[in-house]
Amino acid sequence: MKFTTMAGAVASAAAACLLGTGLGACAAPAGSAGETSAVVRVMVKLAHSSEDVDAIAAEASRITGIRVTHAAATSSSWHALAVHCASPAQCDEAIARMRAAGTVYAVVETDGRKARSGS
Amino acid sequence: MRRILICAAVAAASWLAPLGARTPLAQSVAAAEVAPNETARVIVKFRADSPLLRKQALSAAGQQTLQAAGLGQRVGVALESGRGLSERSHVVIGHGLTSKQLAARIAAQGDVEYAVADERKHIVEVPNDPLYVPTTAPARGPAVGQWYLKPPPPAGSASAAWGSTAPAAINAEQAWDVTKGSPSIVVAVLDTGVRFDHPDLQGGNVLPGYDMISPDSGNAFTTANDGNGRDSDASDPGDFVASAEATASCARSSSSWHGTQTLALIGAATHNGVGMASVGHGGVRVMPVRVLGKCGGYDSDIQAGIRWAAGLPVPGVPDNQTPARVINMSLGGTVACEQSYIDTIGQVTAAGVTVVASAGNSAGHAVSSPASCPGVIAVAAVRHVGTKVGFSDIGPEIAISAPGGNCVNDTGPCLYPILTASNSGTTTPVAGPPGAIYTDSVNTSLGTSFSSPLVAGAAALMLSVQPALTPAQVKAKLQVSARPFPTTGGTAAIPVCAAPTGVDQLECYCTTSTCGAGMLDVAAAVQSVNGVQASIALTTTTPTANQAIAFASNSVLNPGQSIVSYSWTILNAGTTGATITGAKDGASVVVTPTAAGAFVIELATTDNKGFFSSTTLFVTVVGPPVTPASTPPAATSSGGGGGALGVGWLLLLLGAVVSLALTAARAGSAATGLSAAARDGRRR
Repeated sequence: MKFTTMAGAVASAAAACLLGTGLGACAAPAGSAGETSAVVRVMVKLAHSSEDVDAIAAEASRITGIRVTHAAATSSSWHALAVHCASPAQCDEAIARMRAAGTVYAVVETDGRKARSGS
Repeated sequence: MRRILICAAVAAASWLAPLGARTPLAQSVAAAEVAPNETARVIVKFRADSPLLRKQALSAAGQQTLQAAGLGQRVGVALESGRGLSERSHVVIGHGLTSKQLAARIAAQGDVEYAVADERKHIVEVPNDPLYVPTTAPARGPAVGQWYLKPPPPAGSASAAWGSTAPAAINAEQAWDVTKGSPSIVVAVLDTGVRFDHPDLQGGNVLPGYDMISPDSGNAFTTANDGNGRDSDASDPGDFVASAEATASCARSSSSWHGTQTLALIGAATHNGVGMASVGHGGVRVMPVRVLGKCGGYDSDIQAGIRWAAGLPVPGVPDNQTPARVINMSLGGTVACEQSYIDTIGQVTAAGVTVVASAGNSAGHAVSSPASCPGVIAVAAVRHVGTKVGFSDIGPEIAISAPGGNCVNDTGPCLYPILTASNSGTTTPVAGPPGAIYTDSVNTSLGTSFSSPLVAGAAALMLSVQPALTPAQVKAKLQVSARPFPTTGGTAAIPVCAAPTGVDQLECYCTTSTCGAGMLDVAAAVQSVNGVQASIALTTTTPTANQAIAFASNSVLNPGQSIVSYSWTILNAGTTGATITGAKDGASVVVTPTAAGAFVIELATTDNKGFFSSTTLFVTVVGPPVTPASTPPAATSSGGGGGALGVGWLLLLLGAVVSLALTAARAGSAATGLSAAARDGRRR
């Protein structure tokens, strides 16, 4: 039988690592931004829709206390953010703060990855 | 023969009386319908309670002769009996009008389940694409060519007689006899992009699409592998992963050209003497949306791609000028459907876009997201014999199954791969003829990735025939038209598929709770929508006991289609005592329930092409209005107040009865008027 299993193909970014948080897929290695050792991509659903990516990133940085950049927009409600963490624990804490900011974010979830389901 | 007909007519006449009240009087052929040289052939099926089915001491042929004569008396045309099809259905033959005209007359009879023109069928055009039916076994290709598109062999036939088809084949040829796809239907393929220069994608039906892959962190373009972010270039630069790039979760691999493979299954140019055929026959348009690169793609990019494909706005991206009606996603990852996918898919299905996704290839584990998301048509893979192929995931989310390729043998060339277009480059694409290849028995295409486009292509053909179908209707029609899974013919001693438990589950006999409603049958799916689609509109806001409830046909018609007969039936009155007031054969009816509860009403239509369609509506009825606010306070008190309440209630009831009588009278007039309008429509 010849086939490719999806389990083996579910991928993170090329230089990715997986944090032990169950949430964060690290998408870039350390060293690119000061104390950053990992970058976690999250998707947020804004409580109030906006397309001002700079303001969205600034607000996320304020809430988490660490650098957050805007990665991509899906709609005016859903945005992907890159959270630049110094450690897995800091990633966890940043995400917990975002989840606690219910007036800003209706939903916070991993910006995970999908893979093709065939060879 | 003439004597038999006369005797039959006399005998049949005695059966007509009971039906007199509910069927039109026999009438001669209307002047507008006269066609002296026409011979009409109609397949008629009687309802089980038809008086014409009463047993006589006659042979089956004699019985049918009698039935034809009795029917002819009613419709005003002398009918002969043709070939019998079953106890309740046979062909009847008349003269002086067309088959469609006769079918319309017969369909209007209350005891006829359906009547359709017995039309001639022509030889189905078989694509001349050389890989569709290879005349000689290609050096590296499967000798069976595109087995998966062909008509399945007769049920129960020996495998030695199958030739270039197999039981799981999706039966596309007869669908192409109905439609070769409409360019107004666009299928978006969310994948790795496409090799636009492939010779089988030169039919003019491949749209430019969009590259939706955003930069990785640090403004790197590792995933995209094209040196930039989102832009209008959906070409596939390759998704190879070099050794230095590989991680535990992303193995070293050559470029897959996966998007070219999946898109070609839906949109390759067909019957052009080149390469392969596609489900969409080159008629539907295909649109690559690049969302996967090296090691897959981000959810955020995939969801942006879903929205853009459907014509919904994506910040920073120009609007899609050619929105898709169908989206194919041969991709997946985590099992549970994320809230972001629920939101996105909910929005695009609400916009009328059908979303199809592959189940995943984890060998019988739970269906992956986004296939597991509500509103998605999740597709599992079956082997050529119809059993679940080892790699396919399964579960209750699966809507339907289709071939995903399987090899049968452990060594040597793969016997039943999914042949499709690809590129020969192992890293970057190879341009020109040397690069344009097809996957084959050595370089195989296997996975639920290839099952999903077959279903997406089928959905596109259905929408080509019936553009007004909703995503829910597309799914329902795909499911009801699917062929049942086999229960024999698999590898010896394989089990019946079970719900995923976290343990690998290889080949097994599919069930409807694990692999969906059945095996895709494109011809049946297209036929199931090739006519007016019956639909019921409930025009009463709050159905209430003892009040008239109005229903109207909201049936979906295409240009050139009209409804020639309506038939309304209360299938189950439950506790409501619901009955239809007035005519039951108009475009609308009024139902008056006598108590709270629920009932089921059915509308059956026959269109001007003889296509029969029916639908049901479940209606909840609330109790009669409560005591009005003006009721004296004593009525709400306990004890002796009951008398006052009783009087008030009686007055209310009396008023309701009078109101009901008036409403019924008005409704009867209205129904009559609508019925007349329907009859006018038939005359047209």
